[in-house]
Amino acid sequence: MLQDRIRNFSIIAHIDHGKSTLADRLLQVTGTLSEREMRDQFLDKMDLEREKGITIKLQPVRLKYKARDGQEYILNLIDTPGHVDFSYEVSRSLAACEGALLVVDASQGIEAQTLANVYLAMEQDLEIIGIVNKIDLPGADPDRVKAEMENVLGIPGEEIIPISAKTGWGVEEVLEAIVSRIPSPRGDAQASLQALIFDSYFDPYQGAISYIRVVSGQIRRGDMIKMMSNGKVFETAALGVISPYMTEVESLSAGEVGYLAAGIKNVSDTRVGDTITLASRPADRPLPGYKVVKPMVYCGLYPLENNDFEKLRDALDKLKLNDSSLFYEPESSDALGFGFRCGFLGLLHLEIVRERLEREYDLSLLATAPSVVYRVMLTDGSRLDIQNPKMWPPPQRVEAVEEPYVRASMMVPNEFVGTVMELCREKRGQYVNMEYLTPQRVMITYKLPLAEILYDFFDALKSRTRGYASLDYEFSGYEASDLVKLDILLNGEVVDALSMITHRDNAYYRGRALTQKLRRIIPRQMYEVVIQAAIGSRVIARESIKALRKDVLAKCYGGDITRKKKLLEKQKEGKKRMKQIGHIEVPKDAFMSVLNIEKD
Amino acid sequence: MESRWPQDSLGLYVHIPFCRNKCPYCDFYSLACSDPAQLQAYTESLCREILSCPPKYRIKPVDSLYFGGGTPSLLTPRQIGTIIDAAAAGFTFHKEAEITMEINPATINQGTLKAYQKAGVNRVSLGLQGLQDKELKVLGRIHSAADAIKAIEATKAAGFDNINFDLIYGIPGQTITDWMHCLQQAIDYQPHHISMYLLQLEPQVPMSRAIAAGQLALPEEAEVEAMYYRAVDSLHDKGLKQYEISNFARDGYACRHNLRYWQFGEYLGFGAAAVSRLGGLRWMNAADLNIYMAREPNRASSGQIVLEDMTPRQQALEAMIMGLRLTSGVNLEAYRKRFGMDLAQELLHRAERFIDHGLLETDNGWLRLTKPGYLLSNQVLCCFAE
Repeated sequence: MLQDRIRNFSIIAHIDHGKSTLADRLLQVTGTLSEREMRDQFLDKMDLEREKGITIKLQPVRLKYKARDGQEYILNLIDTPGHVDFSYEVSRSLAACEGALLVVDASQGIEAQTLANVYLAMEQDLEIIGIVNKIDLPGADPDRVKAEMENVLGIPGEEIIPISAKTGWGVEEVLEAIVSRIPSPRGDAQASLQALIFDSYFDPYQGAISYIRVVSGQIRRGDMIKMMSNGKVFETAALGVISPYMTEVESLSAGEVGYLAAGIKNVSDTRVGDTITLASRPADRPLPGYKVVKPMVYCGLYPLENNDFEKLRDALDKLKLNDSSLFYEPESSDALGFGFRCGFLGLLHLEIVRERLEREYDLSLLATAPSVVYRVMLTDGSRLDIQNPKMWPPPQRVEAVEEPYVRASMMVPNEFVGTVMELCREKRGQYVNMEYLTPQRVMITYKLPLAEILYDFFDALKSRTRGYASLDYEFSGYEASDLVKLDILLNGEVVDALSMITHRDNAYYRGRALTQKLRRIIPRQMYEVVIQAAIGSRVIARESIKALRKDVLAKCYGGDITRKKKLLEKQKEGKKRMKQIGHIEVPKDAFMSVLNIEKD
Repeated sequence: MESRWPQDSLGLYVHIPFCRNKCPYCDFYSLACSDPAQLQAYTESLCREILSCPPKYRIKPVDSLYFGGGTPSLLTPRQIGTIIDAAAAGFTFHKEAEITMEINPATINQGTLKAYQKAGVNRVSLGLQGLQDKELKVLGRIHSAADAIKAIEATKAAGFDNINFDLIYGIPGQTITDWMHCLQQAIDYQPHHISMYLLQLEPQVPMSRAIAAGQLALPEEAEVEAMYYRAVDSLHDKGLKQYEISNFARDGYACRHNLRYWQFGEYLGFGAAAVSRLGGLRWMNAADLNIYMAREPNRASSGQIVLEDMTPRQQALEAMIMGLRLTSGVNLEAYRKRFGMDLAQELLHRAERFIDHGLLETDNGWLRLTKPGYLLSNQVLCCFAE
């Protein structure tokens, strides 16, 4: 394969701006997929992605395109996720590319997250092709959006391609631009092998499958390869490309994108970001890897069935393979038994991991409320990093506390500026900056405690701006804060999994709201349940759930037995969604409810 | 209470799906009807069904026959007699078989009662529901308190010596004083048996809608609880001993037909919407009068649907769930013999936490609900569900 006929590119877009639809259209227009094979969101392999209409995992695909110059080109599309939690994954896919399509909705304009991802692409010197999508929609204003892209990102308006990915209008132009504007890869096929692992997943038959971008040299089936991070050597069992199904090839050369299987059973041996080289002729140095991202959000994951602990460990091991940002270590809770403390990039990441564990590994899990990592300075001069409220030291040992702050950028129509600033103040934000991108659109920057973002900041932002605001944030550092631990007691016993850290000023309000919420969601039991919120030994809120007095089928005779049994079966199903804490049955959602107490 | 399973006999149930009026709390299959021609046609159809019952179903002797509804007393004594005769012709009856008929107080007099008795009925279940006009009106019954008392007196005068009163409590507007007064009045008439049912409404019945709309209000849960347990005590003191969650009888007067359901016995049902169980199979006749009447004479099964085809395990779970409704509970030795050691152990294991909570108890080889367990029985029984 001639390198100058290869183009490697990714697509950057905000959620709902049409990235998956454009990808579908590219598959179709190039004839990579026949009409018969076509279905929506083809590259989103997970059910979860289809249901949520978002892209979680990048899914590379190879397209063959016969351009207007009469030549046939190989276009490698490396799809990217569009949510703030996953900027790390975006940078992974960008590293394997020479160019990026920037897709912006013709009625929405640029969103905060898009901007962040474009900056990532610019940092890596990628050629950026601006695209305005959904021009067929009634509310489309492509000229305004073009002006925005020109003003904010410096992309010349005349180079921006208007399209409708839905109808296919303009998609040919996009393909031509990929060929003519994105540079071909420049690696030396004769040099020693350097191949970047940009993703991998676990296949029960072949072991780890890695997606690679060959940067220099060549790899053939049967080659002994070496992982440059740990020096381990494996034999290449299969090489291939995805077009759009896995197709084996004999070799992959500099510039090409494909997959590799080498019978690697140990998950940690195919680290994403590692460089593969040949054992016989190793490269001098690895490619620049990825910076290791630190989880921002932690929560406990516990199997509802206590004996599923090992199954959960195994599932986490496997997920970790294609989700290197996932962190976990065993922990135990008095209330919940044995589980794992898990770290995530953000809330969506948490939700997705939990759902994948439940669906793909058939587990029933209970998640405790997410927490950030607090720094607690103790009176003896030492420091603790605490990501589980349970580990919070007693108040008399605490000298000072710091919590993580983020720099949050919010893109909003100008009429919502006041609303957003008010919200940020409520959430303990510090004003940083405000910038008019166009006369109508404003970028507001605040420093906010990450913990507030975890609570309900995004929901509040969306609802108070009628869905118009978009949010992006990045970690900015630790700052001192007056924080306390709020405990929840059920019938006098602290339920460690329900404890939370909160700002002292919010503690009373949250304690009250949480006890009230728990009173609503814990079903009545055979005896009274008293719910208390306490700071240390001081109770600050109390609710009680009256004992259940009757739960009976008064009549049960021959004609009715089937139906009555079904009612009992349903009742039993309901109990399965409960966790027994002491004598009290607590719905598993209760542990997450700490999060959205303000919602209802 | 007997510890063996009633496996060597059969109960027959005959469903009469007609009522003068549909009560606003009822979700049973019944139609408002007072057309004598239709009742006669239905009687004939029933007799055909009984007589065309496959021989393999007729092997076991019958020791109970139960006319339920609807309102069986809309049928004339002659019609009831015809059906009993058909059953006697089609099946072998125990000499002392229990033949129960549900009677609506508004539909009978002493003469008809005597005639029912002559036709073979030996147990009467009077659907009194209440003994105060206020409550009967809320329940939408077609009879008054005076009708109810007349019916009781007529039944006694007719010479029945096995009489049940059906009573309902927890009626909108009812207080515990109202209920205890009603119950005392009922006890004073010295029935052999009392079934007292907590009013429980399916969401689709008219009374549920009236409650949702705020036109009616059910008594508070604490009051309902007191109604139940005070009634249990009161009935016990008068020699009407509790033998099931909602049923009370003098010694020797427990309803044999209903016991069969709770002791996992077999039964055949005739008539529209009637349910049968033999072995693991439970099926129901068409719950539609027209389909039932139009069924092909040589294909008794037309319009029937299978409700359940239970595995041995499912049967065992049902036997436990139903058996625990009885105050005697389930005899563990008999249960092990019939359903196996392992399953019995598994269920006993499930029972442990309820024993800890005081809702279940084991006593001399029996597993049973405790008294506090009766009104919370779903909490226990659901854990024995599949």
